Amino acid sequence: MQRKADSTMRKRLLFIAFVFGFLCFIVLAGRIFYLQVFKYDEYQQMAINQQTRDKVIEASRGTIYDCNMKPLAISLDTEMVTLEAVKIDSEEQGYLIARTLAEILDLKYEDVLAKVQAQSTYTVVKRQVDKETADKIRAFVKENKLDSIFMVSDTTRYYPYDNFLSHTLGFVGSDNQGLYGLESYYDDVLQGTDGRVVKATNARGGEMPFEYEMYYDAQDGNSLVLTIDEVVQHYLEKNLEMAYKDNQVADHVTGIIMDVNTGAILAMANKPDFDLNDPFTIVDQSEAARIAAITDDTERSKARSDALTAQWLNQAVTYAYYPGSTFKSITAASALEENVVTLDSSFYCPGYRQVWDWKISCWQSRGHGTEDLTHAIMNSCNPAFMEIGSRLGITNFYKYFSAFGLTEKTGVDLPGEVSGSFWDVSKMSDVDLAVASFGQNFEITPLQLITAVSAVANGGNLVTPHVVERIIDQNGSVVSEAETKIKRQVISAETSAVMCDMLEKVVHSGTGKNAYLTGYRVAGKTGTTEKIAKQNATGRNDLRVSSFIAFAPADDPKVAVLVLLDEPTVKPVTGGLTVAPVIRRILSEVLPYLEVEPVYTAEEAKKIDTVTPNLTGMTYEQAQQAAEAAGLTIRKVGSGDVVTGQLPASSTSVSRQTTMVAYMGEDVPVDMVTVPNITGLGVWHVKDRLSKLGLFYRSQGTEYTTGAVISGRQDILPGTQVPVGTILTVEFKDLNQTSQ
Amino acid sequence: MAALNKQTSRRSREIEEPVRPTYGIDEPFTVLVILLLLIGLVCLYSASYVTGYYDKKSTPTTFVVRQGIFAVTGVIIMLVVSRMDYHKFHYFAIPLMVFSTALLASIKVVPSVWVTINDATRWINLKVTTFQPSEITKFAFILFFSSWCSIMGRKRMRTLWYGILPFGFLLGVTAILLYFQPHLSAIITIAAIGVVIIFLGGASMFWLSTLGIAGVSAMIAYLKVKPYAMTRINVWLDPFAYFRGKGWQGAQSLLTIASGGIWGMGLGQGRQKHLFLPEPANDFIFSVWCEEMGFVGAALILLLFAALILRGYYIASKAPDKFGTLLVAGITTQIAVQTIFNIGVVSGLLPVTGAALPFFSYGGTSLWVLLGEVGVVLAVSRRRKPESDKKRGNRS
Repeated sequence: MQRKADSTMRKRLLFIAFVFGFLCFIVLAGRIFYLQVFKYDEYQQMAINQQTRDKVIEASRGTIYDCNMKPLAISLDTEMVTLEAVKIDSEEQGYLIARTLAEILDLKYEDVLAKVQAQSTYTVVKRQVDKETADKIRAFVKENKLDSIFMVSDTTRYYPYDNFLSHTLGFVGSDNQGLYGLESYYDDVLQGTDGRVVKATNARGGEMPFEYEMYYDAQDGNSLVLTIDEVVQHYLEKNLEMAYKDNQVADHVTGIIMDVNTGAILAMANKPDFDLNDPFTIVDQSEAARIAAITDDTERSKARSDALTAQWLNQAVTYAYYPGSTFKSITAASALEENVVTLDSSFYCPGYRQVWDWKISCWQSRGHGTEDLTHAIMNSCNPAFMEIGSRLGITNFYKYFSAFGLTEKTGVDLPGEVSGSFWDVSKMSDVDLAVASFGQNFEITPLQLITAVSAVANGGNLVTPHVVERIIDQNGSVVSEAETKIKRQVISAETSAVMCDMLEKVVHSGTGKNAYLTGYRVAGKTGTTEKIAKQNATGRNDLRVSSFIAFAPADDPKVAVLVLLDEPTVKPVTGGLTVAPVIRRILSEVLPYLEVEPVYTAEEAKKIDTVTPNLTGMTYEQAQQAAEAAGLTIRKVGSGDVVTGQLPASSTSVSRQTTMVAYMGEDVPVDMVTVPNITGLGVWHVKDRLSKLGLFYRSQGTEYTTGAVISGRQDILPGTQVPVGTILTVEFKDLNQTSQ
Repeated sequence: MAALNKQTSRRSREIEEPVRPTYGIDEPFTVLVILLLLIGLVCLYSASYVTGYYDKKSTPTTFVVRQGIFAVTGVIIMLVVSRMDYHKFHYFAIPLMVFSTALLASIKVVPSVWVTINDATRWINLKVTTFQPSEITKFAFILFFSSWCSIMGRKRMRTLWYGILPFGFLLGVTAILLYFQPHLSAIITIAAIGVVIIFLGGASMFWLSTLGIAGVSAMIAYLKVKPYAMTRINVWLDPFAYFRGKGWQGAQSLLTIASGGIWGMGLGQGRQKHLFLPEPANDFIFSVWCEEMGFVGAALILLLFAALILRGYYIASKAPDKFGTLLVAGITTQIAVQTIFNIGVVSGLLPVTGAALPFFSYGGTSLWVLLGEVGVVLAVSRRRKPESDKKRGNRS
């Protein structure tokens, strides 16, 4: 008997067939349709996002050149070590990789291990690895047949001269992003545009076996050609460094050299500076030690970041101070232009001036008596300038103050520029005006001052200072070029000429005498101000800012120089004594380099150094004549008929006061002598001390004035052993110049 | 077992039934199987060559060649089985059940022969290949309960004692053994197949409902006891919330299917199989197909499977006897449940469990078992009732 499917079974079979063969499949089809049609856009985008990977091709950062195409900041090709941790085969291999990479790359083992153990497809282990190190890693990869470590091309910013021009150049962060200075201001120009490779990748970040790749070229950054001249900058930095040490400056020194006609900045520096290749090290060691000693972590890191920020600041544009007497050049120019004074105006200085119930004194308490405008500025007389200020009145004073660009930023192409502070004119009192007339109680930046004084010097045009001369692309083609931007004419050419003449006299025979440079017509103005706010805060009364603004040549001004010492501590600390010699040293190097020909007046011709003649074989009479012709005197040693030897040797540049020694038949001594300390001696003492030892000297500075001239620096340090006949370079300075 | 022995006389009587004349194997069913098998191979090649490409131990063609060999031999097995007299299978009902249970139990006796992949111990190592004993268990259940129901008759099947308890008992034992692996999808598949067979075999709706309630209660209890199972539910409901963790598989599968759109990316052009989609040649092979062939291709496969399943139930309804009906219905149900389960999982309708897609998923021995079962269906189809009976079968 067969048991065929009964009716119940058939009904139930139909039901099952309906459920499993129809209903379920309708549901499944509906679901698939929903996913593929309604969720298509959303899910496909998610899928594409995970399937493609952007790889950045870093654009090479542009170079920064000085005006003679000397590279100051360059990009070196380096490599980046990246890790595809998901491809690490075993735990042991992971440990090996972490250990080896940490060792080769000088990283913390724990940090590398964390990257190794993260199941990531792309991690940067270290950027900017040099080729040598990269080769070591390549060898390790090859040796162990790893497919998890990759080297990617990268670039590193490198500054060939370390500290050179540090505040102006600035530096980049670890991602080659400009952080400070020009690197930051021109970041967009230098950076270029990174390229991209969009690639289809599998879940391990590897490439898919089919073609899906889009390549966008990297656009390398453009390069900057600066107005900065490496040589001029070097002269400035060298002399600033010297001034910083000589005067044991507690805060900082700043110097700017600018083309007065174009506003091109030839040099700009602050000391202390920092190493651009190591910007994150605090240069001031005592400060670094103080910060290291802070126990609280957040406080320490805050102190550290404050110290670093201060270290990186370019005080030439970010630091506002009382300009002091240097500002008298602006007051005088304004008053002359406004015709409230003339060269014939007469002032009387009793040593003070009464303004309301304030008795404001002159730096020379006995007063300057009656003086004309030229002498008022030569003497840097405060009461005379208060008078000039009051003749101008607040409105006019402020009119010129703003016209000289002192209420606004100069617009220099450097980051972080400030514009100082001035009174609210509507609330300004006569006392305020009186002190403002000689540069007190308002703040401007060094760059604002040198720009304003450049306008005084160049015929009255206020120019926009700039640091970048032109932008060039990778092929050297010019992308853009800086033009001289004249904002406005502030004073007339006539007023400018008068000012040049007066300011030259300040250096020639006024308070700026120590900046006098034979053959070059240097004009300038001293300045010394008290740091009142800090004095009030600290209870001290000896905090000064000494400065000097100069330009040369006075008859056709080319360059302006401003040097400022913030808190010099070697007394006396006046601008005329501490800063003027610095200006002279700078100009003595910069002007010849800029091919400014010295022109000697008849008076100067007598003072300049001369070259020793060759006396050998001459009779003493002949030798005397030859020496006289060279502007020298002579004495003889020995009793021979002809000169057999001489000191100093022939063709040597010496001071005209030098007495040559002619050896008549006797041997020229070859002994070694010890250089004496001749600092602080008068001219004749110096000559006497040296000639006794058989040494000679060449002078710098104000040697020939009467009065309190003493020797300052000597180029060979006391105690040094030198052969007889050696010529020292001695710098003299006029002690009378202790004005503000 | 005691109950079974009492029936010996009746059973042997049925087995000794004279052999009916045979006809040819059912052509539509055969064609559908061959079609699915061929499409499955093509799909497997596309889905597996990437895995072969990335895997250092194999080449892009390793998987498809192996599977092809198993498919060809499997078809031979199918044809051989189709020529057998399926009534003889009665004899194997008990031995096969004992054997498969023993195999499952060996996980506790000789665990060394078992292979663990991804925390699941589902495979026995045969040196040349591995196979899943649960595949045998599925057929053992089909064979045993087809035999049981056809012998017990309608009246007994309506009782708790004959209709429900044997199944409940064997399912319980099997479930416990499978739990050791663990292999939830196999438990569910076996339960579903068994329920369908005893349902068709005439078990009372009351007791079936009771069994259902018991099953649901067991599930709820399980979820309560195992908090990890609850997480699984949450992951299922929103796989993107667990994208980088437990939800990865489910989420990637959804992205894969949706990326296909209506027309697909083209055969072999799928991107998600490049290490994003897990097991592209196995559990998630249908997602690859959807991505490459779009809704059009997906619908085609669904149609083929639905047709195959409907034809299977048609063959069942035309079987000459109860045993044949239940045997074919059981095998068809197995194919249906596994297909629905797999596609339900990859499309996010069901929580992710390891369920293969018949004819598509990579796995040689399970393909052999499957084609052997198809052979059983064809063997039954050869003995279908003459054409004149067809109308009656259709009406009922």
